[in-house]
Amino acid sequence: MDRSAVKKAALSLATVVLLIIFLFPIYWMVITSLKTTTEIFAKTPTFYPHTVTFEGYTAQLFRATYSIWLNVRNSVVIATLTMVISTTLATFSAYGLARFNLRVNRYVLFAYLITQMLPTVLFLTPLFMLFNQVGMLNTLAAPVVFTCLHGIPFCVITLRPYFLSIPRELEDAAIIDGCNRFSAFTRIMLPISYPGVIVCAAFTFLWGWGDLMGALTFLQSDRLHPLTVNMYKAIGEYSTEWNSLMAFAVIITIPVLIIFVTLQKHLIAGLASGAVKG
Amino acid sequence: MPNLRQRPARSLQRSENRAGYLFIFPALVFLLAFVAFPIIYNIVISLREVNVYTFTGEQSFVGLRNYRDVLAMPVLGKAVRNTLYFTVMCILFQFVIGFGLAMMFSKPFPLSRLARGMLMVCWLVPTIVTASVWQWIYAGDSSGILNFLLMKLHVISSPISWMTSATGAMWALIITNVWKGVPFNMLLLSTALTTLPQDVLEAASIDGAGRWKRFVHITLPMLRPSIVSVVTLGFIYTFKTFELIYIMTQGGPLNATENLATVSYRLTFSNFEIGQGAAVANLMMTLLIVIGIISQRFMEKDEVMS
Repeated sequence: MDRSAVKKAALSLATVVLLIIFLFPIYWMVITSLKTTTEIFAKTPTFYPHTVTFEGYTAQLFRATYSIWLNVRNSVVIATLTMVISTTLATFSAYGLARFNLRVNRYVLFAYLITQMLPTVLFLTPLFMLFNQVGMLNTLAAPVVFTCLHGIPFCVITLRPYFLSIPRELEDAAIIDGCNRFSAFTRIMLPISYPGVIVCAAFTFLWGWGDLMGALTFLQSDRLHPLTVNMYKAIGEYSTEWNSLMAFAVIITIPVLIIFVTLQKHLIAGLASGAVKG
Repeated sequence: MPNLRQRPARSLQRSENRAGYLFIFPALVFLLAFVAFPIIYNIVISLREVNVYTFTGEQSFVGLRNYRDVLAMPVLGKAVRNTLYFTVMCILFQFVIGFGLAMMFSKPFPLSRLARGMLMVCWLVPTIVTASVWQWIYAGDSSGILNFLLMKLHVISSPISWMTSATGAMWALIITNVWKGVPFNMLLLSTALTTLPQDVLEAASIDGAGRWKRFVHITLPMLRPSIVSVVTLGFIYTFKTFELIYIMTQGGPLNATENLATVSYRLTFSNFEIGQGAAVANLMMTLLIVIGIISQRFMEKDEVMS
């Protein structure tokens, strides 16, 4: 073997070891969710379930007085609305900031950067008061707005470089051919920048899906809670039933993995292009 | 006649601008309503006595008393130290490990792309999942897999009480947060690495510069803007870490992992000293904005120079 082949083999081996270390928590979560309680607390831990059981999962599905599907539905609604609102508003805004030389551009962009820096706790009390005033408290719209506050700046900052990189002539040509500003945007600019839009949609969906503090603070009724709040309460109540808790964790993680596997290429390319430049 | 020629151009410019405003307007309204309002509201209540007694009645103006009160609390000093310690340790480890991995994956070998992608899973998993999985890994008795493995490998002789001792809990949080942060650092830095001009590195190597010399004198200086931006982003996000701590330790045991965010939350939602909670949140906001502006200056300078 020549030197470069040895080097490649060594790098590959190191990578496998690294992946095992980094992905071990995910693996441990999955196998714990499939173990029996006796096996979980065995003197010597087992690295795969010797007897596979779905106790943990059935405990989650039938524990509450109402169906867990209600929580799943709430999670899906919060995630979807967060995605739609953040991505739509941010796409328009990023395009406007990239394409027009407005005097306010500098300040708007700066405002987005600042918004990203603000601590989460800053928003909880004021938004609670505001939502209470306008009747949004205890509606799914409240955690959606809360998550969008993080989502919109992220999307604008990610998408602006995409729009900047598209040659202006393309759009001018479309306008000469009879498009107006808006249709030039939807027919020419959006399709070209769609990798960036996909990244934004995916991330904002995942943030909506994973939101805990918004839902915990602004939703009082059990029937409105998303899965994350259920899981948070389960940690308090069933703190040693690790198979149930890990089953819950798996249920929450599955959509994340699906989105990741289908969009992996886009996510990595898109995130990298936007975030570094800022 | 110059006048006639200018006018259509100007009105075209104006209608252009109008279109531009229409595009940025919706998101701006959203931000003004839900970001500007909370900021102003928080400043207002931080200057008033807002607690469980005055909540529904009259909230008298107390000037900077809330700020003086929170600054005098022993827990605040502890929270400041914890926040800085947690932030610096997290950044140090996730940056160094992330950089190492980025350098490694920048070499061409079959697994590099796949591995880079798979690591991102750590970053994408919702915080509630991360927190509870790691809690299970840290479990104090022999059932915790981390203690079991460390003892098997003879790194430690008796189980570490991760979640119940002060140092243990702090490091449990740091390790978890580093696990989550490494992929993000790695990804951003490996993108930056791909933009390095290879010919410069090759030229240096022909001139006899060794691997270490090339790294210190070429790679690092050329990556400076990216490094500044990755470290700043990391600093800001780590500094305001809340959910992870809130779920895993709730600031305990005995305030050992309390940071500014958890103190603010506790003052507001457990003690109902809402004015004081707002004061702490405002102190955090001020610090973060100052850090942000300083680093923005840094980056602008870099851009001018390059």
